[in-house]
Amino acid sequence: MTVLMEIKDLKVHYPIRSGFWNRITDYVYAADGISFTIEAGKTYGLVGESGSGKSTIGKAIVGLEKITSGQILFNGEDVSKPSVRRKMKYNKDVQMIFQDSLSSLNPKKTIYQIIAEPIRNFDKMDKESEKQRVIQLLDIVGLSKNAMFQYPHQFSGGQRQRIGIARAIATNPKLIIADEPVSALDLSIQAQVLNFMKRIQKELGISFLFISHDLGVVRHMTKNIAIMHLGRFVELGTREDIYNNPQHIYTKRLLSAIPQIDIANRDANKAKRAQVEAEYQEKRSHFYDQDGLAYPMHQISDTHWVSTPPTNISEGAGK
Amino acid sequence: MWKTIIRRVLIMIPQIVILSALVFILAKLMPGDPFSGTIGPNTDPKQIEALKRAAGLFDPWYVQYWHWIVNLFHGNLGQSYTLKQPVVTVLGNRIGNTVWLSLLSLIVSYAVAIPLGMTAGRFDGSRRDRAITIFNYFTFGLPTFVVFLLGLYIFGYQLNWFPTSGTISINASGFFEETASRFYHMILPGILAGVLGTTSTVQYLRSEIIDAKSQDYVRTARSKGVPTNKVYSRHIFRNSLLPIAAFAGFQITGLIGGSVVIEQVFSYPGMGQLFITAITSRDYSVVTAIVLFTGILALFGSLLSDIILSLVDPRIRIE
Amino acid sequence: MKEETLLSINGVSVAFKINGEFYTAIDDVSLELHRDEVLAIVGESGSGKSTLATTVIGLHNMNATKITGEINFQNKEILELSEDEFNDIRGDEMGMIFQDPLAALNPLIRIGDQIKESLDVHSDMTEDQKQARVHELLNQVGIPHPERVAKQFPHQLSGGMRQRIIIAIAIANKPQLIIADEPTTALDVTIQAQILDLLKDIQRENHAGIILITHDLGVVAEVADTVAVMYAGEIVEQAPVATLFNDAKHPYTRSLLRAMPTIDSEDDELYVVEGAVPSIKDMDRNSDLFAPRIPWTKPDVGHPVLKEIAPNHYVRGESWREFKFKDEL
Repeated sequence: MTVLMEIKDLKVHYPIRSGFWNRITDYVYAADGISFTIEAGKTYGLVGESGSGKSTIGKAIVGLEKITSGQILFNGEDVSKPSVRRKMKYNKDVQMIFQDSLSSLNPKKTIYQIIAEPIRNFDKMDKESEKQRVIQLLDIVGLSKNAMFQYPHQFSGGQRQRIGIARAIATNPKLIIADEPVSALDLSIQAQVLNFMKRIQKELGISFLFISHDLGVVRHMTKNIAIMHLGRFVELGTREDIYNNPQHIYTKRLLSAIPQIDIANRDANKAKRAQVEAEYQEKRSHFYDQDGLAYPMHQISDTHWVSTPPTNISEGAGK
Repeated sequence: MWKTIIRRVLIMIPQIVILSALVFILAKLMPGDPFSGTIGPNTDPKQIEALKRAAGLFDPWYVQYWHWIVNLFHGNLGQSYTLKQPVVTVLGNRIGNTVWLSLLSLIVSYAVAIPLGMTAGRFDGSRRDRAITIFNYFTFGLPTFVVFLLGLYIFGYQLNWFPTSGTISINASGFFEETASRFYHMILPGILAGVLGTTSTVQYLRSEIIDAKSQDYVRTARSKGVPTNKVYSRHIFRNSLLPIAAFAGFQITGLIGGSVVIEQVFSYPGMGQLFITAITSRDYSVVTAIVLFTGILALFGSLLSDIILSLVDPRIRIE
Repeated sequence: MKEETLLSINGVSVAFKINGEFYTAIDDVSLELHRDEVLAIVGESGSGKSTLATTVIGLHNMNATKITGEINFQNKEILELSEDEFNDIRGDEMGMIFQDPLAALNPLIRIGDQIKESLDVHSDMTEDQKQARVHELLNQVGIPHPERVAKQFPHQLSGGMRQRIIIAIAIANKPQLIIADEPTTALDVTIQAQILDLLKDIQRENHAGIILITHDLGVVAEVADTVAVMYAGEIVEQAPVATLFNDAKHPYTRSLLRAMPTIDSEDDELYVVEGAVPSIKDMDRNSDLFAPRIPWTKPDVGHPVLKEIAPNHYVRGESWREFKFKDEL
């Protein structure tokens, strides 16, 4: 397996300014000591609730967020500096798909201009082959070539999200960050977009980092999942590790909150949820340090890492 | 909130410094100097130079600027070349006239515009709305001086309802009589300027109200069973008037700028008229003083707007 | 208790005026809601589910809307009420919970006053009693420090807290009918679970009926008793919740259920419904409206009607009897 990207101890802290002189009095730890590895051609899920910092990580990776400290190594090179990113044409290889497809597409540009833009930025092509490439990309995402001359507002939410995907794959990237790409879509359209993303991922061998709050969608899309809470990872593992053998109380709480299609056992599920919630409230102070942040993660199996309170380390390591 | 206001006031200090520097440069660029008016054609050039040297006109610019600022703080803005009086005295006689007239027309303007804007917005598309729109076309499209001249001709000369020039009748004596006479002189120009100044407020308020009508919080209010009239007074008008209130500070400075035309037409001895006279007679020290005064007034206007906004909008008041 | 009918909607159609012409958004919908029941109305954007809710609480702009049919609520024909008469019911006997909790609160008015407004309109309590009721409501919807929060403004609260405020407003006068329009869509899953539990608790206390508008089948499975599935402004299937999830008949219902990512779908492609919901201007009311999205199935002739195929299980048309997914053919 080739390592495509390595993120080492990534920190993104936003200053909080207050007082009369607007001095920096504190920081928001949007991402605080995040480390993980992305291998070529694999899919990763990053799950967390609003405010967990999951989008911050995505933005930091594509270079939309200034990082406070840490390293992002892409093919062995540290790309945390804008100059390095420009020199190695980093954003040709790493692209992003956004949640809000309407506001992320320039309303004054035609679909052709939108999709051709990354091509012009990174690949030198003559007019004819550029046009062929745009038609080809539209075909991949299932839109007719007539769409080229239309504007974003003329499309439905699902179609716009597919245009966003066409733009993201235009430069044959190696990694795509998808930040809540389907959370604004209806069920049947969501299915369509997810299928597209999955097919493209497989056919083109692209690595995917799928950021979402929807555990059902993440389970469907990715094999490796990280659970994030308050700027730190609390659990990291394979799909099976997370869904079948969750270790951290926060992971358990998230999983129990997913609505179940299990009408016969509705009340039992509700009772179980209440029990997990009670356990979470009770043990919260044990699983988080005095600042309310999660403890560092420790490995408990080949694939499974969990944030463990200091007293549990010996026990956890023995597993 | 006080912190916000004090901080906002402090920001004004550098703004005023920059403004004063600009005005100083402007003054230096203008032909002539304090002696231009007093020196006759037969004066010895050597004596002129000695006078100029004594007055510091050959000092480096920063020394001159410093002296200018010190004089400014002592209320010394130099001598009017044409009126042979200190500029401060000249301005002092006029400022009051203009401020009162501006205030009256501002009050008239809001008194007319707010009910019109509310009616047009609440009943948009109705006959009343269309009539108000036509009224708006008139106030917007008619050239101001034509309306002023017409008003002066009809109400002043033909109907003899109002005086046609000046600020006070020579026969007025005693505080009460003088005040009444001043007010009487202001009525016609004040009303005309006020009515003509309604266009933007009516238009803006109308569209704010139409916008507010479809807001979710209005729907919430209606879902509580709040009667329509109350929905308007409590939720729609209040929220729509907020930007209007915030704009009031800027309106004041705009009206003083607009007083140039009306004071000229009504031979009303205010700042606007003085400005025109000073420019035509090349009384540069007066021009400079008015520019400085108007500039400072504009800064205070925007300060006032910010303070009003922070008073009425909790989103700004509470940080 | 359970059988007491609270609301009955009979043959209601709603048309909107667009550029001078009326277009049907809801076509001949009939539904019944009992006390203690949660009736979920499910559908995608454009299905007419929110329009139906807005019709029940009478919030349409009547200058551009035409409503026919009957809605009987607690023995009152509410479509015949004047605006003033309706205002007496709205916020008192029926309350509505809205989707976007930030936009649904007036940014300039304190939380406590926005809740109190419901009491101002409908109750003859003294100011002190109202104040106490506001604090009681805030407490009931799970907001810590009610006295402090009552004095705050909406922007000072989190999304989950704001949604609780919206609920407090809706239930201020202990309504018999609660209409909840996507009450948890903007929220995180853990908060969603809390809000749904809260709604259930409130319902139990007042023996209220709830109409839950949602596109989230998971939410439906958790709280609904009866489900109506809407497509293009009409009900295509209606059944008790267990029947709907275990024995859905209509092709649209079955398609939706199949499009959901589940444990079993981990590595498969999700089912995609071909085509798109027709726009309100393109709906041919004399045809089988879902047929274009399952072109391999023989459509119903003319306009299919809703039939009771088993007790309390209604399905539109006959084409479902033949319907198979493409991969089952």
